[in-house]
This record gives sequence, C-alpha cells and structure tokens, in this order.
Amino acid sequence: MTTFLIAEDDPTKKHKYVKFGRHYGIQFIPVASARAAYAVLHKPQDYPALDGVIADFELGGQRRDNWPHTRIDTSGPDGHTYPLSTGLGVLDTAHTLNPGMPLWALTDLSAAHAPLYMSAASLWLDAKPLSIERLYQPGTPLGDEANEELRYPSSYETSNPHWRWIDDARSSFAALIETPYSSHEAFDWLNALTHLRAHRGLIPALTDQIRLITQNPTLNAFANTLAPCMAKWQLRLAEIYQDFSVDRQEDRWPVLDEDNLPRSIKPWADFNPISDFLGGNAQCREFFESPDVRVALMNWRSRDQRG
Amino acid sequence: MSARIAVWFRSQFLRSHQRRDEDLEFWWQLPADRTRTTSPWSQLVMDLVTPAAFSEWHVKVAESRVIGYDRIRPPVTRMLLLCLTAAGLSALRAPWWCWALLGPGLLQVLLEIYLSRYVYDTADEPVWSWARRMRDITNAHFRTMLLNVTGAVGIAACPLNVLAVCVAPCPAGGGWPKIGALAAAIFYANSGLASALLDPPNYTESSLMPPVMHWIRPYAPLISCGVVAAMVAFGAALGRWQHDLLGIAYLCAALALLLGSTLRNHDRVVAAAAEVAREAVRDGRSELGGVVHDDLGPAKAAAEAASRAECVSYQDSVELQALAAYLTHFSTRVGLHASQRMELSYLVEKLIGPYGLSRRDVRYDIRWAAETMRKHDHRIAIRMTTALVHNVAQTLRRPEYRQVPKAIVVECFHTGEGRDVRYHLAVHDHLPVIASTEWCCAGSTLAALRTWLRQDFNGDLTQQVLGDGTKKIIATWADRPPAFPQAGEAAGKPAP
Repeated sequence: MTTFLIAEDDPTKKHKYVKFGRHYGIQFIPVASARAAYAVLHKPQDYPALDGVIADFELGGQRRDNWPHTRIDTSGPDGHTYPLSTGLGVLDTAHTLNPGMPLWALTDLSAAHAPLYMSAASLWLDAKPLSIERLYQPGTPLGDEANEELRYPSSYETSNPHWRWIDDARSSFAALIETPYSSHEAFDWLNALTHLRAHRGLIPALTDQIRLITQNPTLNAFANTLAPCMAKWQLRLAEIYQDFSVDRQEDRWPVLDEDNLPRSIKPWADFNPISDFLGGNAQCREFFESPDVRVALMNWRSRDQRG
Repeated sequence: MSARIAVWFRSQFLRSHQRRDEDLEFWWQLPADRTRTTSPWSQLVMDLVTPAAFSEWHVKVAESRVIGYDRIRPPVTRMLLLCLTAAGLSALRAPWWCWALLGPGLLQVLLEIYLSRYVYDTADEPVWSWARRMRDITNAHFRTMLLNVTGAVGIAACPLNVLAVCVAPCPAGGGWPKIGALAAAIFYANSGLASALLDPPNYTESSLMPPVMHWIRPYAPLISCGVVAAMVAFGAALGRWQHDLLGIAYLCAALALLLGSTLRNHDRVVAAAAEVAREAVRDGRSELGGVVHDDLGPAKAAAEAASRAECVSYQDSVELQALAAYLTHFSTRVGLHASQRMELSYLVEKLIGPYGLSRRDVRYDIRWAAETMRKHDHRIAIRMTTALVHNVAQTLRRPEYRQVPKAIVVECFHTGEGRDVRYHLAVHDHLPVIASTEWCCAGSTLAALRTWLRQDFNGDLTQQVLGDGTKKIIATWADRPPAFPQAGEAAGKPAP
C-alpha cells in the first residue's frame, strides 16, 4: 500500500485526508507535530516504508506552552543544535535523510504564508505544492489528480494544478533571497523587518533588530542604501504572490519602478508590505524567524555549492 | 451695499447653518481629525481658531456626557458659585438692586436643579404644567439648538452676576471680598457658557442654529473676557473699585479665558478618544474575524465537502460553495473601511484557486454599480458567479481540455430601466460551444441552474456563440418579480 507521512495538526483536516486515503487505498501516517514527524523519520524500522512526506507549515510551534510537546532539538550542519518546529523543517529533515524522498508542501492556498512556504519548499527541497482542498475531494477529477500525483510524483506537471504558479514563484523567491543587503543574507533582513511595527524611526529600529537576530553588532542600515534593496524585495514579493488569492491589501503596496528604484524610504511611510503585511501575519513571521527554516536555507546553500 | 449686508446678516444670524457631518458610511468608522497639523507649533494657533468638529461620534459623546456624566454637576457648581458671589455682595453691604441682579442666576440654578430629574430619557412627570412645558422645550432642543428656558435665563444671569459685583459699592476693607465675588461671578459665567458650548448641537449637522453660533464658538472666551473687562471699567468709571485693586480686577477678567481651555480640552479628548475607539473597533472586528476563521474553518471544509454530496440539491450545493467564500471573506474583511459586500473578483479568486486557475487568468468587465445595486440582486450575482465560474473551472481541469486557454472574462451589466431592469452575468471562456442538443440537457448542472433562474428569479440561462471559438454563458434575472404569474405557476405547476 502506498504510504505517506503527513504532518498536520488540525484534527478536522485529518478526518478529511484519512477519508481521501480510504477512498484511493492510500495509507497516511498522521502526525500532529514536528517532534512526532522526527520520531517517525528517525525510526523507519517501526513504520511501513514511506513513499513520501507531506507537511503543513504551521505545526503548533508558535505557542510557547506547546513547545515541549511539538518541538524537538536536533543538530544542524554546523554542529549547533536547533529546534525543529515547522513543516519546512520536517521536509528538510526528510530530504537530508533521504534526498530522493518525494515531498509535498501542504497548505491552504489562501493562507498568507502559502506562497512563501510553497516556493521555499520547491526551491530548496524540490517539494511539490499541495493545496489542502485537493485532499477534500475524493472521487472528483481534482481528487483523482491528487491521487495520481501522490502515486506517480513525476507526473506532477499534468496532475498538479498549481505547479505552474510555484514554478514562477520560486524563481522570484530565489531572486528575493539572493538580494543581500550590507553583504548580509536578505532572509535575515526580512526577518528583522517582519518584527518592526512603528514606521517612525525605521532605520534605528531595524538596526537594533538585525543586530539582535544576527548577534552582529557591526551591521548597519542606511536609508539611502536600504531603500533600493527594499524596493527589490517588495517587487519580488509581489511576483511571488501574484497568482495566489491572498488578501494582502494589494492597493496599499507602494507603486515602484524596477528601473527607477527609490533612494529614500518615503514610499513606505504609510504601508510597508514586509513589516505590515508579512509582519502582521503570525505564520509569515514564523516562516522568517524559525531556526529550522533558516537551517533549510543554509542546507540548500551548501548543497548548491557542492553541486 | 445695504442689501448685501442684509443678505449676509440673514445667512449668518437668521438661517440655519449648512455645514455637514464627516462623511462616513457607518458612524463606528469614526471621524479623522482634520485639524491636526504637521508642526506642533502651528497646532497651537490652529486650536485657538478651529470650530467644533461635526460628526455622529462627537454628538454621541456629547449626549452621553450630558446625560450620564454631567447630570446635576453643572447647576450645583453654579449654585455654589452664586452663593460665593452672594457672600461677597453681603460683605460689601450691597444695596437691594445689586441683589436683584443676582435674581436670574438664582432662578436659573433652581430651575435647572428642579428640571434635571425630568429632562432627557426619564419617565418622571413634573407636577406643574409650566414645568412640563419647560421640560418639553429642553428635550425638543437637546439635539438641535442651544435655546431652552434655563439657557435663556442663563444668557441674562451670566453678565448680570458680573455686573452686580462690578457696580456694588466698595467700602473700606471691601476690596478683596469684591475681587473674590468677581472671580466667583466669572466662574459662574464660564460654567454657563461651557454648558452651552459643549452641548450636542455644537457637534452635529442636525443643529438648527445659525452659522454665527458655530463660528463664534472658538472666540467665545475672548468675547467673554472683553465683556467682563468692560464691566470692570464701567464699575471703575462709577468709582466702585478701590484704585489699588483695579489692576487685579482687570486681571480677574482674564479668568474668562479659562473657558477656552475647558472647550479645547474637551474637544481634544473626544478627538483623541476617536483614535483609540477606532483601534478598539478594529481589534474587535479582527477578533471576530479570528473567531470566524478558527471556529468556522472546519465548517468551511465541511460545507465544501457537503456541496459535492449527491443527495444535496443543486441550489444548496451552490449556496454551500458560496458559504465557504463568505466565511473567508468575513474573516479577512476586518478593516474599518472594508467593503461590506463581497466583491465578485474576491469570490472568483477563491473559486478558481483549487483548480489551478490564477487570478491573472481572469479579467473583469463589471458595468453595474456593485456597491449600490440592491442587496437582493447582489446576492443573486454571488450565487450565479459561484455556479458559472465553478462550472468553467471544473471543466477546464478535465484532461481533454488541458490545452484550452485558461483565460476567462466575467462580465456584469444591466439592461432596461425602472422596474424592467434586468441583470446579466456572463462568463466568457475558450471551452467548446455546447451543441444545442446538449444545451441544458436533463440532469446537467446547467439545466438545474436554468430552472433555478426561471423559477426563483424571473430569469434565464443562455449561451452566446461569439464565432471565434469562444462562447459566453449568460445568467439573466429581473430586478422585480413578473407582474403576472407565469402560466405554469398559475396552474400550480413549475415552469418548463
């Protein structure tokens, strides 16, 4: 029987995909946390052989009182331990253990973090996007396609309705994270920006935040050099989100011109998509701040250098 | 020239003002404060000349304050100040006509205290008919004008109290008691003017007062100060002030300026509270959106699943598909100015997403006024969009149509006028034209949709072949039901 590990913490959704599995003769091993997923992946002898891993991004890791039950500390590539808490961390662990394992990034298409998660999982781990709605429809053409894709992952170009979205989004996501500022990872700057609230004093607040995140007291932000970089980040984000029906207050995003980037941070005086939209969403904040997502990025970079 | 002055006089002093409240769709969206300046220095000047803001928020706060918070505090305060003034006059051994000048003040506070239990929202009835009449005038004018019986008495009382002190004789050693009495009389005037200038009619377009009553408000403290100073000068001319305390008396006149501080502090607090209240409304809506998202999320999934069950009728399945979009719409449209109606583009994006159609694949040609059309018609539009777009997206996902261009156009327009208005919602796609023999064949979803439109909405479902290999499927419905029952209905049978 085709068997998948599925990390998803919503019991209602679990009921749905179990029903989907029964309809198509697929066995799901459901786990509700990164900790449980880690246990299954590290003890393959205790479970049926896996044909793939499916993981939702948010696995209850946001609530601090849940941490002992949902997170697990594991060692990273540089020997330091880091907590495994998100679905992306689960997929990255599965990929590290078995690089050929088919992976799927599971989420609701209209969730604010969906484009980020699906793009990152696709770029870093070659994971396919899996909209949760597809598992709700056993017996329909959409459900049949999901079944076909799970059984024959290489058929995803014909059976996955969203692969083209992600194909476009991931190249923009690659451009986003390959736009460093002040010779430092864009990912960390974006993390710092999602934790800012007040527009007034953006530069000093951002400087404090990036130093706190990186533990590097020499990092600085300057309005005239940050502005063009932030404009590029915003333009890439707009491309990543362009196919998704995410309610992102699109009309409030500053209008920017790729060929004439701003030299001051004035365009973001009223609304900054990074701090106001991404920062205003708990899952997007979790995406940038979770250590296991950062580790997945570093793992991808080291694989990229080796390859 | 005199004619122009007469016109100006009539427009400013006799006719009601023309200002309007802040334009807000709902009062809980709360007005922005348009008098805030960028520079804190120019704000100081702006505050001195700015008139009261007109909005439902401001008038509601004023009403709540007067009824729930002021209660009898202002008349009792005035009573106390009147007693202090009287004590001063007593120390000055004032003649009877000075005491007589305090008469309106005494009448005002006694009437106000007596009427306080009968005015506004109370079931108590005064015993005397004259009191009932006064109560009725106060209630009737509460939201429209400053004029009521006690207010009219107060117009006389405030200056007469000051005048009584200013013209009272000043025996040897009576200088400081006179200064004290003057201060008490000025505070009485401040209290009376504040009650009038902070009343609800100052904050609403429902006010029937002439423009002068609104534009003079910021300058009322200055005018009051001038009047008091003039009365002090009048008393001085009559030799009723000790020469060495005359300067202090003039300085006392400046106490009238405290009225400005009272008015502006009140207006600032109300404006600042609007900011906080707006945040509270936003947080509350956000919380409610969160509840809908968290608690009804599972129901949304259940509705989607149920919409595909075979035992569910076609109408119900469309309703259930729309419900899922409504729930998402409700949980995300939490902003203060978010549209209350779900936009068709929002709905379409939610419907096509699972089928891999991007929002970039859809173009909209909406030629009806979505925000002003009747709710009933908007609800039908939501259902028809759900039915048609879902149908197209599902068909485009079929293996045999994978090479068909995904672009679709949603067109909305109306025809006819008056009671003959008909709404048309069309979905233009690149799928093959449906042969006339297969159009709305028995058991198909299109047949069910056509029956629904004909039976419930006085409408129809048609196909328009465009000749370039594309087609439109158009749902049409009437704004009004048919004037006469259709043949089938009259016979008690469904229409064919």
